[in-house]
Amino acid sequence: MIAATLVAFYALYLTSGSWLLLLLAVGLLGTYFVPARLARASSAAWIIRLLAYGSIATLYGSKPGNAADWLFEARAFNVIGLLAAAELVLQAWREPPPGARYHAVIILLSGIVFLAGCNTFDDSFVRYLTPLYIALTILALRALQPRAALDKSAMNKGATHRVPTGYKIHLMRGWLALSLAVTGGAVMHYSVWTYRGELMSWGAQFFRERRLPQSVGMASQPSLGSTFEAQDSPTRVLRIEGALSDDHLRGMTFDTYINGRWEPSFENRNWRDVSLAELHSDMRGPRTRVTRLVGRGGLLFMPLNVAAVIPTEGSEMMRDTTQGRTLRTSDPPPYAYEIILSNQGSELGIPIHQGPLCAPPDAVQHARYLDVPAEIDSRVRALAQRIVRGLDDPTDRIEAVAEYLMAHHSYSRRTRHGPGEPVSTFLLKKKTAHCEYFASAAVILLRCVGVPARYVTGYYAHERAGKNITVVRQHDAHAWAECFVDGVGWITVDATPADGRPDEAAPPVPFWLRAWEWLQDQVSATRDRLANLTRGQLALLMLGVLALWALERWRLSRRQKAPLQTGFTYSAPPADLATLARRFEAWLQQRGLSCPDNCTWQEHLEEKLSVVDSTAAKVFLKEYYAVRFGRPEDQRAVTQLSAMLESLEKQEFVPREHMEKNQ
Amino acid sequence: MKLQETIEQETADLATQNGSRAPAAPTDEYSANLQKIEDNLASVIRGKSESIRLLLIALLAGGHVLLEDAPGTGKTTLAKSLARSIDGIFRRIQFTPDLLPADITGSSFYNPSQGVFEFREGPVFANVLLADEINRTSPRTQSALLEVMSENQVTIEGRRQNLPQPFFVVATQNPTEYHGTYPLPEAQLDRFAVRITLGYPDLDHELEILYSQNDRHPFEALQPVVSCEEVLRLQERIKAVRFDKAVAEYIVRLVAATRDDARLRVGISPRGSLALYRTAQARAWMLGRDYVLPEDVRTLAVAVLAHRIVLDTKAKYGGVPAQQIVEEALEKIPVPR
Repeated sequence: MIAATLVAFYALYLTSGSWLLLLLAVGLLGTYFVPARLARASSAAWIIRLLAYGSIATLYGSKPGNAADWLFEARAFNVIGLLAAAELVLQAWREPPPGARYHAVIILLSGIVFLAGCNTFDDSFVRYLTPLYIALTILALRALQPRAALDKSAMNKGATHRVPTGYKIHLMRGWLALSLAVTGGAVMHYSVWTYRGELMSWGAQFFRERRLPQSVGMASQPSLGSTFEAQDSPTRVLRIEGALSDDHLRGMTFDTYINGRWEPSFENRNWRDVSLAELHSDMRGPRTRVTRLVGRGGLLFMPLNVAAVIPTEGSEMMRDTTQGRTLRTSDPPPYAYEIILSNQGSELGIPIHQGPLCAPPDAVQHARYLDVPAEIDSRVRALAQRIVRGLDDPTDRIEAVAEYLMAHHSYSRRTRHGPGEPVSTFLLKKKTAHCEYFASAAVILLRCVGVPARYVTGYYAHERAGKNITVVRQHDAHAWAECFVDGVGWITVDATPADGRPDEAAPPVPFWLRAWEWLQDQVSATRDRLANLTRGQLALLMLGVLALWALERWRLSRRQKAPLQTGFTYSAPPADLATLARRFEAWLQQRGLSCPDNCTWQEHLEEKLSVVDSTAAKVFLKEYYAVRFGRPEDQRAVTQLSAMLESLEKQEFVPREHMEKNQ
Repeated sequence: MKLQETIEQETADLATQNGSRAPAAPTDEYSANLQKIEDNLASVIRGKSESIRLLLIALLAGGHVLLEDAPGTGKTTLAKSLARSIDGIFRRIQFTPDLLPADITGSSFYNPSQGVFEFREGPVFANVLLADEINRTSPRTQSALLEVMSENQVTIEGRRQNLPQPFFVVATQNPTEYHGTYPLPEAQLDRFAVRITLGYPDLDHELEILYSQNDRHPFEALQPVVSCEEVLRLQERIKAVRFDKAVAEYIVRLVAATRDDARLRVGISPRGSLALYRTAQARAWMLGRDYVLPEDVRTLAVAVLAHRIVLDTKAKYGGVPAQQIVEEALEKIPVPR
């Protein structure tokens, strides 16, 4: 089995080039020569595991952006292989279960190591190493079987040694295994190598999310239907730390309305990289941090009138070239970016700062923003004119339209979508509808009265969760309009009635969900902190754990030693005997033989017999005991004892080695 | 009664209480007798000198012995040899589940020819009683024997019968087989002074056993070496061994330490400390001293105390043997100097 494992290690070494494997191979070979093993339930195994995994993580780990993607990086294979190899060596050093020479875990782990090493599909692997590995493994599997029964006939004939007939059969099996492995390997090589592209993409697809996501809960293409597209799901989408100038967080804008749908859809956009300068990223000011938690479209949400956008260091943002400067990134969630808000407002009471997201429309865009589609009923235009009669100022017109919508229509999440053009029906037949209708109607009406407007989808932030933190959920999805006013720029116009805005209409979040989210936050925060540890910090952490473990073991060993009870004294012997005892103890201490309290002097001297020759002391002790426990009142005996002790003290202390040398 | 008077006379001037001087050192005669018994037993049971010495210590201390061992290690032989050596009556009870208390103590039989009820003594009227497999009989019968052990007399139908002196019980049980047994509750185990395990002999001694029993069992060649009265005298003698207060405190501290232990349901009772006291005296005397050393207490502690401990369930199944608890107590308590 060691041979098979070494082949696997070699395979991984070829792929990863990691010197750690050489170390592990030496460790594995060591099990062959050194008989000592760790006990099966030993706690030292966990410490070794921690050390091994920690060092592999420190040396080779990279922060995974997205777990599913990381699995297909070559680096991931290497790390997995190294971890498996480390675990293998650890298992080899443990006591095997009774009866087996190698237990199945080692074989499994060696398979994993080999597979990890195979991730390059290099030819040399498949043709030479794989058959070798498989053959060696099959041969090693013999070791798991109990030994073949003895050849009984040979024994009856009185053979003096056992004829290993079992070996002949197993050798046959070995050859069979080898040939099978070679043919199997060749077949596998051909098929896997030829179809490797398909296999990889299939695997990748399996791991990626199957559901093509709506762009974060909002339809990639809003269409006015019966129900509002955004689900009622309370999944958290954004976390905002800091203040917001405007609660409307725009995601995408649409300018063309065709048959109840807003175009262009998410897939039909042109994205191009945007530079930090375009985002005004060097601006100074209080930053608000937005973290996008879900969603693979990569859209970034922020108020229209931000002053600057600062992406995460090292990541790239892309900008929509045709539409109203919406931003997205290709980094997977969770993705954090910062925005700087501007306090600039106007007598309109709303923010009007024209930041990186507000570009004045060029002629083509201007035309599109004023274009009222043909299918809109002409009565709608009349209605629009009626609404803004007498008002010339664009801002007044906007106000009038918004007020009209809010006053004359009411909000409902469901609407019966009758035949005919949705917006016209909504406006003329005064249906109740959801925010998409309100936003579409606002855009159409405004376009009718000559205010360039576009349709915006995004989120409405309202839920405060702690000091300065706002949480945005899926059910806060919202739609509204943006209008361009000469002399001011782009401004946000929300025509949905108050009870239709997510702060009123969204269902409340149950407390257990909040608790669960809090827990998840703690976990991810810890994970981030751990992932961001430098190598030095990681090493320090592991050392700390090691130190704690050593401390605990030391304390346990101390405790098992049964601390001595103190706090009481025995009945004292007569004073002179006590003095003698103290003198004797001093004598012992001088010679480095101080006796612990829980054994008698005699026992202690017996223990130390190899170190020092204590016959004289033992003679004294015998007499001492006779007096102390036998006849303590005998003054003569006590005097004799002190004489003995004096002569003992005068004796020179000669350790036993010296004595033997001299003799 | 004459014997009693003789003994009282001999020990009259012995003051054995703590703190005062005990004049009598073991004379050669007495220790020679003891040595004779020991040699006798050693000729029959090979290689178990420690266990034999413990047995004799228990005999001198006036206590009883529990022999826990696998079958076939020589328990019966040991008891029989002891009885032969002290020239005493040897009886053996093989306990079975259907044994009745009357089978132990004896009962009255109606003698039709004389028309009276006669008391027929049970096997308990012996000097050395071997109670074989005491854990195979019902608790009622067990308690009958144990009561006899503690009171040294049998009361049948209102009449008191004294047991022969010395009365020494060697009870045996197989420590591993529990199928169909009534294990002695630990409270009853308390009545045994010493628990001895013989164990298998080692290779050389087993060879000796094989060869020594080639022609006939060595037991048949045994001769009595002392008389029962001498044993009684020995038992009185050891009471003269001086027990310094410090050593007595040591015993008390040891036992108190087990009472505080959280792993024990019940610690060691004063019966245990008393047994340790007596056996320490016996050991000191056997080794030729007339004073007890802490060392005597320490060497006897496990044999005398370990079987009296009642372990908590967690400790029992957590693999903490009672022996370990006694050893820990020994390590914990400082030794008097």
